Amino acid sequence: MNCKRVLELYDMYRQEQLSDKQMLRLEEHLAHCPKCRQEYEANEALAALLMEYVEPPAANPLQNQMLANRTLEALRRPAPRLAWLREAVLNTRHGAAALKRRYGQAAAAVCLALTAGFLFARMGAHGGSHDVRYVPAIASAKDVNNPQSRTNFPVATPEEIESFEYTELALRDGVSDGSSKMLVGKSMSYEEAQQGNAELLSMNPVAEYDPFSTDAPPWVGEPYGAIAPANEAQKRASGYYVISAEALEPLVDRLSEALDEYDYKALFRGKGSESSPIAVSSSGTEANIIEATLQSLLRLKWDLRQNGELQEYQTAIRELENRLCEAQVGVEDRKALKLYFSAEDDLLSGRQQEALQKYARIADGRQGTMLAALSHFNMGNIQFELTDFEAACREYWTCLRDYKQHFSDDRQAMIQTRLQRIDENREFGFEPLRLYLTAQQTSDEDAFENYTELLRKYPTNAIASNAIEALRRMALEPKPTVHSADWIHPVLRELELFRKNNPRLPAAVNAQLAYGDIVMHRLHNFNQARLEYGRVFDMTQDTAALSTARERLKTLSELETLSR
Amino acid sequence: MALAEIPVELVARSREGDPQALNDLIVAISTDLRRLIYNQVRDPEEADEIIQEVLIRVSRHLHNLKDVSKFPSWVMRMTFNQCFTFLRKKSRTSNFYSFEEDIEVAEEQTAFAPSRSHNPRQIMIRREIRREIDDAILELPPRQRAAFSLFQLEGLSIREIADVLGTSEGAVKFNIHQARQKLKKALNHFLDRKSSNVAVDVY
Repeated sequence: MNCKRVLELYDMYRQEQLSDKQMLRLEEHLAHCPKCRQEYEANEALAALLMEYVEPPAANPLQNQMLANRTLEALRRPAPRLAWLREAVLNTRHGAAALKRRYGQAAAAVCLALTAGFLFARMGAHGGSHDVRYVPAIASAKDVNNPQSRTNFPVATPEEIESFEYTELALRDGVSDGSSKMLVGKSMSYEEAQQGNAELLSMNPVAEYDPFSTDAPPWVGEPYGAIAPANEAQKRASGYYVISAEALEPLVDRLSEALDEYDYKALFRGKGSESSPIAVSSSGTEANIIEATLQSLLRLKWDLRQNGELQEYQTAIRELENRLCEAQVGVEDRKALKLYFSAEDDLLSGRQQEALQKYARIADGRQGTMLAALSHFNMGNIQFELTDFEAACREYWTCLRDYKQHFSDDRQAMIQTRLQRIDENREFGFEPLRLYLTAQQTSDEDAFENYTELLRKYPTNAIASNAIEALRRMALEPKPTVHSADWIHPVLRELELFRKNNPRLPAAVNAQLAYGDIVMHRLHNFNQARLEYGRVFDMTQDTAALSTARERLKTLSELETLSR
Repeated sequence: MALAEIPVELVARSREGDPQALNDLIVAISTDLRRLIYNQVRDPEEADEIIQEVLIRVSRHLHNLKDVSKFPSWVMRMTFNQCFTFLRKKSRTSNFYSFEEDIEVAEEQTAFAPSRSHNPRQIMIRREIRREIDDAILELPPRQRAAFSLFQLEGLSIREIADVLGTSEGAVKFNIHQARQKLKKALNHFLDRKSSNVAVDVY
């Protein structure tokens, strides 16, 4: 038996799935191989450690019952169907472009899934076992207005659509470039759907892909291939797709699953994948190759960050670096890109100073480009983390002043918020900001000191609300595995002090709410909690705060009823 | 009641739309789901948020479940998908945004488990160790965390895990192995290899 095999057997051993013979051989090997034995002992020790210390949250029948009540109540309300899609399509001016940008291949899969849904629906109709109601899918304004089409397909009238109780779903199947064109949403009127669909079509003229072909579309991977329709006979049905409510239900699940499954890593795994940033280079001009690459990278980084998957990003960068020679870019750009990749690599490996230097070189050398824009942005972020706020401020200002067009609205808003925070803190020598940022990285004891100092010295600062929230969390610290009673009273004292000293500040309302929360959840003193929440109504007229207080009171009475 | 021991009649009756059965079912599975989710996010408030979402989804889609005996793995799959979605969304919106995050406080709260011991020193030591373990587990990428916790803490077989996570058995083994190596490295100072016991006495 070799060492590799032992490793494999170990998992089975853990679950007592080994035969006596295997067991014997495993023991024999362990007796003679110090390396494996050490490995084995470490594994066992780890298992023991976890067994001892990873305590499950305690069973809590009261809370389980509350969850059940809430679930049953939620079921009585109509389901927010396809909320994410509706949002993507309706809230974005360039709906289809956004979908494609965001979901790429997955959007194609979505389309395919809907196509399959059509088949289900038709089968259902012919079987006649269900009362299938149809929603017409709107191919385009032209088609819908064509009386010929209307007679061929069960198209509902506008009135019917308006009154339809399920999500109206209008789609056109044509998919060629991974973009899907569909309009969804109860909130959308028939006219809006038509108009929107026409708009999408005009934005995305696509070569027709035949959704009924027996071959899976080239961009669809294995997980979705299985649901590709296989019947050649269905080909004749072109134009409208009709989805029944019954078919819709499992589809919605499938769609969200498909989207859940999708991850950006696929961008780099796929061979010559269309959405791979480098692949763009074959069709794009030089400027937008780099732009596309960098945009993809930026998105990737933000997505993988804090998922603990930054290693993936590092891999992606290296992969891109290798493929840089394939990209059709000029010598200067190539050098700059290379430098950028290596700066990113430095940053991920914790070499912030090196990264800063490299970014600065790029920013100087490639002024006016996306590369420079991102370099300034990254420098701003590094300086912010290093708490050199003036430097961060300079970089962020450059982003907004010179490179505004390179940043999305979200990103611009983020930069602005940061600048605002820095500005607010300048008169205090950045002390509140520093207190807050360092508190986040220290132990509870030090953090508590920092937060209280912040609240006492700078009550009017916007950060005070963050500190209150942090304190609230400390006291509530509902981690069932951690004994945190020790923070309840210090935090309560601090919150009360804050409220008394600054009764007119909006943050005082937050402090009051937090106070109530702690009394309710940690001390289980429902009467006092009710009083505490009640005070909020005397303190403020702010509707958001008042409705929060009302919700808390509702939770309180729920809890109270259950505890009786 | 453990997830695997849920009587199929209860699931079947819930599927038929019996509200009392659904109520009982939710109460019965909540403890297990909370543990599964908690082991992924290691934050009770977030776990509460996710579990409510999972329960609503489970109840809404229960009628699509064809084979009631598959209920446990179906629920687990849904749970993990929800966790992954949550973690992904969190990674999109957190980072910088967390700093300016709305102070609005989550509506639901957890009730709290009493601590086991009342000796302050022991409590402190346990608390510190737990915090380190929590941190080490949170460092793992979500899929590794999921595979490892299902294997080590829930005692599922590799095949069951592959089914729940929707991947191959090979991928599951790889994930478990990776997770184990990382945890051993991170928690090295707690592992006393000679005795296979936890060396906490040094504290």
